[in-house]
Amino acid sequence: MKKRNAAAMVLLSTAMLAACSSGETATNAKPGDTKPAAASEKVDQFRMPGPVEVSIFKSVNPTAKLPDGDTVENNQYTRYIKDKTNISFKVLWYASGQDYDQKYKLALASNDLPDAIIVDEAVFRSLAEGGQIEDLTEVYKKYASPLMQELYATTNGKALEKATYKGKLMAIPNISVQGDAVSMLWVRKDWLDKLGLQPPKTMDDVTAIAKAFIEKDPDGNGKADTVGLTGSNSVGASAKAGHHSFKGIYGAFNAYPGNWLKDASGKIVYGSTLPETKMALAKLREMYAAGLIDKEFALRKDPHELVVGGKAGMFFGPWWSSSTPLRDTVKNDPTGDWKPYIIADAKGQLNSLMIPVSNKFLVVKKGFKHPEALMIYINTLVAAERNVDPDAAKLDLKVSRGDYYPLYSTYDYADAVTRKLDLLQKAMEGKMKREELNAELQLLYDRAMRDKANPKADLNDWSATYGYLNGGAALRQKINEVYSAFTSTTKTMERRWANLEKLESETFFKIIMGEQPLDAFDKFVKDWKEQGGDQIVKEIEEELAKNK
Amino acid sequence: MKYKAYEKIYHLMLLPGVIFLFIFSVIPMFGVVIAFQDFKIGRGIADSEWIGLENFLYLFELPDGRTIFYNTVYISAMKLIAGLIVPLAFAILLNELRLVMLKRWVQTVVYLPHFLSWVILANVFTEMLSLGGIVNRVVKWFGGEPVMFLASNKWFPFILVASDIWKDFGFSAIVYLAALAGINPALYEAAEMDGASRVKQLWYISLPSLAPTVALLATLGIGHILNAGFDQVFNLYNPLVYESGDIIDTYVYRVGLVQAQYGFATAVGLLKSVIGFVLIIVSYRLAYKYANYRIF
Repeated sequence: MKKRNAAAMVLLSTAMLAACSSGETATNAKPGDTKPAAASEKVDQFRMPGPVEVSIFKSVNPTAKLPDGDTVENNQYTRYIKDKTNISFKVLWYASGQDYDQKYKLALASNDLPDAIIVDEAVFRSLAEGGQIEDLTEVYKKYASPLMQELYATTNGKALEKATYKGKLMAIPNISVQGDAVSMLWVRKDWLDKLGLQPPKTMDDVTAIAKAFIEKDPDGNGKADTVGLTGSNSVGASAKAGHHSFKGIYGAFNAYPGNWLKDASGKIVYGSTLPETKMALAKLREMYAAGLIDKEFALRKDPHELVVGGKAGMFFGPWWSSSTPLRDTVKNDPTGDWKPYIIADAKGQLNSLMIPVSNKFLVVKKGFKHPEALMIYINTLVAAERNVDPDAAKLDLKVSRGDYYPLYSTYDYADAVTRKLDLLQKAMEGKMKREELNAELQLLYDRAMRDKANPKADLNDWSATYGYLNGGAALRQKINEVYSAFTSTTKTMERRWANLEKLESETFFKIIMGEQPLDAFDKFVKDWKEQGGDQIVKEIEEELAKNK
Repeated sequence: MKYKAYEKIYHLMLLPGVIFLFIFSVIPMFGVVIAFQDFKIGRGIADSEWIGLENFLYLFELPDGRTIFYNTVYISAMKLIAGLIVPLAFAILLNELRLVMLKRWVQTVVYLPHFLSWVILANVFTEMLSLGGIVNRVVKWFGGEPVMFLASNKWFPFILVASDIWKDFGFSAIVYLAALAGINPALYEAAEMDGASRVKQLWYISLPSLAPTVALLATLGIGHILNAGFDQVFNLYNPLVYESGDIIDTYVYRVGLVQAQYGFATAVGLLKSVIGFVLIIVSYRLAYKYANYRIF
């Protein structure tokens, strides 16, 4: 009885919504809005019929800048969204980085959700389980724009599958660009040339170059003040290629610490406990002892400083490192010629751990009256991001999008980097006309041409295109793509993970920095298994068997 | 007993404080029941599963339990002792200064750091203690090898204590200065007439007058011995010094908040409060028995 009532309610409310919005459709035709998803009911996928306010939390990078007079709640992006969609966002509070995580988790702990929030997979699952968020199945069916559907289609349905709980779509998942996963070694090519060195292919080359960069004074200032390789205060390998992480080195040993993998027999194993990881640690330890890795990497709060300050000639980072940190680096020293390389393993294979198709989930608080507003918002955001909407070209991209769009995540083709690079190169070589490109690529093309005519004159033009033409090009190599077999949490993990994580990072840091012998690794593996690891592996296998 | 009219007003003045305590301290006490639950936010207190003492047992089962407990007590005890001695000595020395302007100036300057947050100070200390920082430059000047202070388990606890004292000794000294100001000047005058030197005056008048304050602060401090300073440790530590710097609060933060183990975090908090409560009663009794000192 109850169920039937609920169904009737849904029907009734959707009918009412449709009635409200149908009048708007004709007058507000939007670009890309050629055919509505549900043919029977016409809805405007890009505008709410009346003003709607959505409360949110906001994570803002402290270094992000806004033009005078603008605020987190009122800036070009929020105004753009309001003009286009009739949706305004109320920022309940904002914070940065770790503080944001801390605060939003506290808010979750007290069940104090904003109307909409973007969370990770584990939190998403627990919210769905707790019945705290809205079912978006109908919303997606009716409101997802054709472009959004096209983007989701490039993931073979995997993205939507991830956001589905018990047969219902409970979130709008992001779509990760797979190219963002590959960790590249960015090297100063002009220093290599000066010292007569070849670009690196293997870990041995990396070691040799680091040694030369330290000892042979490549910057020619007569002081031994250069750092071989930078590092960060995290020794794992995350899905995204973080700056200064050792992911590229682990990859060169076919090691994937921190991730659940399937071994040859199909059994689940934990990457941090495998012999490959031990070998990678041995190499890192050797490099650290030889002074090739920044002595203080474990304590560095901002390793970018080393690169921007011209102290380091090598660092690991993603394909788009041309914008951060290289934009500022080149500003300080325009002679730097940075090139990215992917380091091969002993067999000459390029390995990379990839990103789960979706790892960020936009959820809507249970009981929020207009869940469709969020789909409309995402449609509009993506249309702007992909430059399908010509008005979006007026937005000043120097203002950080991630920081100042009310809710922001990546929604793009899974293979976006090489896809766009191909088109860009074709156009640059004259095989394609500018007019044949979509709006997003026209902008990129214009920037590339401006930079070609006048190199490094405008560093925004430079960094936007340099990443594609170098980092993107490096992605064209054949890469052995490795996916995590499991990205959620299990019952024992909830309990034991903090402890196991501590055990792992403590041991890894100490091994690399020489405080403990390499064989401490074996003890770590034993302890890890005893302190819950074996149990977790068992649970993951059960979980995976259930999902089959 | 007969109330006088003005006594009623005194009791009324107590009311806002009582209401405040009731709302912010008594009502939330009911939340501690989640210490005995496998608490899930979505289900709430009413529907979460009851698991008895499992959260507490897990704490003792933890392989790191002993280290964390030891670190907490060790760091906290050092801070407690140094936190009594340094401000006391400072207050007495400051009290001996005869130039009032200088005295006020010094007092203002030393209590300023109290108002800086650990987020800021942690960055300052990290910079100062880095390999190229000022401290290591001094070490090199004297021919020593540079030390990575914040990555060394040997140094880390001392850095915690020293930086904590540096931050707060000026502020803590205010209590002592107030107590010193409250001593009847006639006592000093009489002592001078009897020919007591400055040192003797200090020994026979100032110190005994300060003793109750010291005892009070020590008693209160013992109750907080399981709070070794979350803000400070959290902002200064890194995985290399977990061994010597990880305290109950930072551990609970990582387990409780980051991993969403609210029941467990509450259990630890409750345990801490119970232990603190017991310690306060014991130390208060001891203070009464051996120093004949009572607050009530």
